[in-house]
Amino acid sequence: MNSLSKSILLVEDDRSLRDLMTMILELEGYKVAVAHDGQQAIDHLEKHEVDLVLLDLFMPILDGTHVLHWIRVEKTMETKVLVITAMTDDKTQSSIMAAGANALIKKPLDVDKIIQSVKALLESS
Amino acid sequence: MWFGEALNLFHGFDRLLYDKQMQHSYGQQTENYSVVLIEAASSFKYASTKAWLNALQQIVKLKPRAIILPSKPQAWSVSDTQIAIKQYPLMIGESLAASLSTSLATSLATSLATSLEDKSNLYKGVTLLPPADGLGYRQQWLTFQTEQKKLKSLELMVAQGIAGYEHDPDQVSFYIDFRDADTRIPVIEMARVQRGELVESLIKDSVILVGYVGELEPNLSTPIGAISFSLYQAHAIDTLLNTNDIRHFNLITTMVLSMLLIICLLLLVPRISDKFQLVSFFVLLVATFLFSWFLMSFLAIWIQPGILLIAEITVFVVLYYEHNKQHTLQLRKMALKSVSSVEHRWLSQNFYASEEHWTQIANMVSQTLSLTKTIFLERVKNDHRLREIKALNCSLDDINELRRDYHRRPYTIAIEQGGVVRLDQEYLANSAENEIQYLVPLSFAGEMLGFWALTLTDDEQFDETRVLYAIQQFSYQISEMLFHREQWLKHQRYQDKSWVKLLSMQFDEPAYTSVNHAINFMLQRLIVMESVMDGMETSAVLYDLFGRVIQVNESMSTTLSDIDLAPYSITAADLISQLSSCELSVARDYLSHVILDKGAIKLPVTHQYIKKGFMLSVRGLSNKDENINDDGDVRPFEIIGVLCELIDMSHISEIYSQKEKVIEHLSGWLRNDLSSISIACDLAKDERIDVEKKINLMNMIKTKVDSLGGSVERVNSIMQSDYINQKSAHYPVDCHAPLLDVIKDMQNNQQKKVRFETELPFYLPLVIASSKELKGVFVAILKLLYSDVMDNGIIRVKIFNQDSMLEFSFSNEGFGIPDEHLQAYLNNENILESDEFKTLRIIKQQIINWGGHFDAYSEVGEGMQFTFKLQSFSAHE
Repeated sequence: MNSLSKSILLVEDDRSLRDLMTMILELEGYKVAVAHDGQQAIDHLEKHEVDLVLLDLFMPILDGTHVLHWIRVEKTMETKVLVITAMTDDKTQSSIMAAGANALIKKPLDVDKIIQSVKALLESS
Repeated sequence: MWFGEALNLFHGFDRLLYDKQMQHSYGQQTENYSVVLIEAASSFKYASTKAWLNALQQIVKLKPRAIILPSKPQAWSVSDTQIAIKQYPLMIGESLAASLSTSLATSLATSLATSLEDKSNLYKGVTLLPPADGLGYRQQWLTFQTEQKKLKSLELMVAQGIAGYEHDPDQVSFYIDFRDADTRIPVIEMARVQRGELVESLIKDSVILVGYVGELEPNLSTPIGAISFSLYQAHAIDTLLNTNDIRHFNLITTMVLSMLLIICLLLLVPRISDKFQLVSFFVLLVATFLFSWFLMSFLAIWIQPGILLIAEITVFVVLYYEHNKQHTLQLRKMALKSVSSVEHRWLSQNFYASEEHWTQIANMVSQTLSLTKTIFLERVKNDHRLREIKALNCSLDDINELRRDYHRRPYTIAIEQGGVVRLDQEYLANSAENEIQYLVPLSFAGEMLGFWALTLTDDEQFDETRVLYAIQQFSYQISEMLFHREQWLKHQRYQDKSWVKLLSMQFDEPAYTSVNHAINFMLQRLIVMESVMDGMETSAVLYDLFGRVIQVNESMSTTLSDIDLAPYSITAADLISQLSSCELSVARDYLSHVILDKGAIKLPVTHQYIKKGFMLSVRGLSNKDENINDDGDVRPFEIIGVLCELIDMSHISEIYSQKEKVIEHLSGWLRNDLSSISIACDLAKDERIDVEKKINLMNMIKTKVDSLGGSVERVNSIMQSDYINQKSAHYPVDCHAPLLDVIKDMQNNQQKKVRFETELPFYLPLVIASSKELKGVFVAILKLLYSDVMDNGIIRVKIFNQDSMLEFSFSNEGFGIPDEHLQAYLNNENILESDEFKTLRIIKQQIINWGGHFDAYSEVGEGMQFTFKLQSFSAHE
């Protein structure tokens, strides 16, 4: 699968991290759209189809769990969701997976971890 | 007492007992000699010889042992008498006067000569009244000593003549045996004798005494009542014939016996307990009395029990008095020791009794009010003058006004005002320019007690209204205290008056007064200690080592009652086991450690019905005061008891919980920043990235590193603060848990059917607020909405997470009020409203103080809505 044909929605409220991750993904050839809170993410998903949503959990306005709930429960979309979280406890992780996340990567992030997780998810389809 | 006996002081009592015992004792039943009394009228003394001889003939026919005439019949000549003596077994007495006359001597000689010829007929002795014994007669003469000679009594002569009675020459009288007196002497009238109606069985072998009754004959008071002299003689003759005379203990024997009884009492009384002393004493009295009765009844011995009883009573009363006196002294000593100990250790001097009462008032005022100068003036008794008593921060001489007459100004002004009056003229000297002078009358129940002069400094903090209000209130209290003290002193003076003491039988301060004082002191102290224990924030119960509750405070009682535990029915080990959910054996190990090692243990309370954050502290209370053991009670291991306290650690737990949340958030930010630095470093190495971007990446790394340091430093300062306890301070706090707690409590305790709808983000940032007060904000708003909501209505709670603010929205479907009213309540302090709206105004100010914003809206028929925003906590300021 050619990465150029894949689009990714990056939902992250931290501007630096958002810019850096966009840079990495674009360098890898993905089309990257960004949203800095949950509401913007929903607005984007209502208008555009994406192959993968890279979703931060802790955000203002609407947090990641609401977006995930909207995707899986309200819209029953099958779009792949890769959750990025700083929450390290097992309970939170299992609840996120149970809520419909396809995979989860824990902060702190590095380039290899991001690229490998994204590739693994997109290639699995 | 022995002197008393020697002086016959107790004789009357003894005679009384003698008479009573004589009436109720059994006599000796003897059939040897019986005496029959034939009573003739006094006139029969002058009856003819024929009548006498006829009567004697009637008697003799029935074969009596002897016939005794107390005196010779008047009609008999000497020859008649001689003939009668020859023919009949006669024994004739003579009165004392007749016995002493010459003619009697002659007749006696003649009679004696005759009687010597016939041994069965003896002429006998004198008849005379018995010796008086107190107020009655109990004895009869054996012999009678006149100036000329010693005469034998008729009774003795009869007894010697008939029964060979052996007479002790030293004995002049004898006690007549009156026991069974009613049945011993049959009495027959002379008329029956003359008619020949005598019964042989009654007369045969009996000693017949012919006596006289009539107005001129003497009646004698005896133990068996007033009886005729002839009957008295009959009993006397009967006593001697049967040798039944009552023997009396002599003085020495009585004294020895009384000595023995006294020794018995001396040994007995101190050795038996108080409650048995009286019983034992009565037993001894009864025993003495019974012994006396026994001796009288069966041995005809009179031990003079009256003397013995008086001796016993006297000794017992003395011993009892001494015993009680010692008790009283011991009790008073103990009470005084207790009072002294209590006063010394625990109690401040009583205000009423203290001579330094003005000092106490001055101390109370000085520690409570910020006064510049103060002088108290007391009214001179029965006068309209005043005298200065106590000065604070000035001298008593500082009063400019010299008259000290409260009928003059400025005192009259203060009395007219009835309260604090501001003085225009200078009353106190050496006052600064900004010092304001006041005068307050101290009066109560219409009685002028004194004045209170004071100055206040008019500075920036001076709030005259508030201070004067406080001074006025204090003046009321001081006046009342002084008034009641004066009343108390009056009462004490009245009680101390000699005639009052005399009338109320208070000759000396009784021991119970001292004990009462001690008990009152202890009670006062106990009440204080109980109040302290109840006022403690911790719940506490004190057990002794026997598992009994010594003291439990109200808080602990309530807590244990809420979880169905009764402190009085469980031991300390049970309590530990129940509260910390450990095995009873483990709880016992803990207690052993506390008792044996004098250790202390602290356990988390894990009982399911006690909210989290409590700790159970168990420690032993040592006996540091050796005097406590004066009561002889045992104190195993020198421990008074085991104190179990429930300590509320929830605020500490909350601190750590809040700090943990701050750490969690910091961790998130650190992970974000570290992620940015790590990715930026990787990208900086990437050859696909141009130089300009790499420079930007390097700058960003530098910025992130700086920011990271700042975040760590800020969070570090928060970690080190005890911000939970600081009401006014605001720090990052979690709002999620307290809000859910409040909603849960309201749901569980609601009386109306109200539905709570919540819309809360899964992740909420911390907000800048005061942890202690944020929960109060939620409670106040939700209570107001609850009181306004309709039955089956809805209360909605929503939280919106915006960029830097968290917005809280609370609304209901309620009755509502006009919005202008709500806004007025929120903004206007003077408007009358309920406590709930007053609280709302306070929390609005709190939210503004935290840097937030508060809005409220209400519409009649729709309900109310309260919205407020609080700043979200961010790592970057």
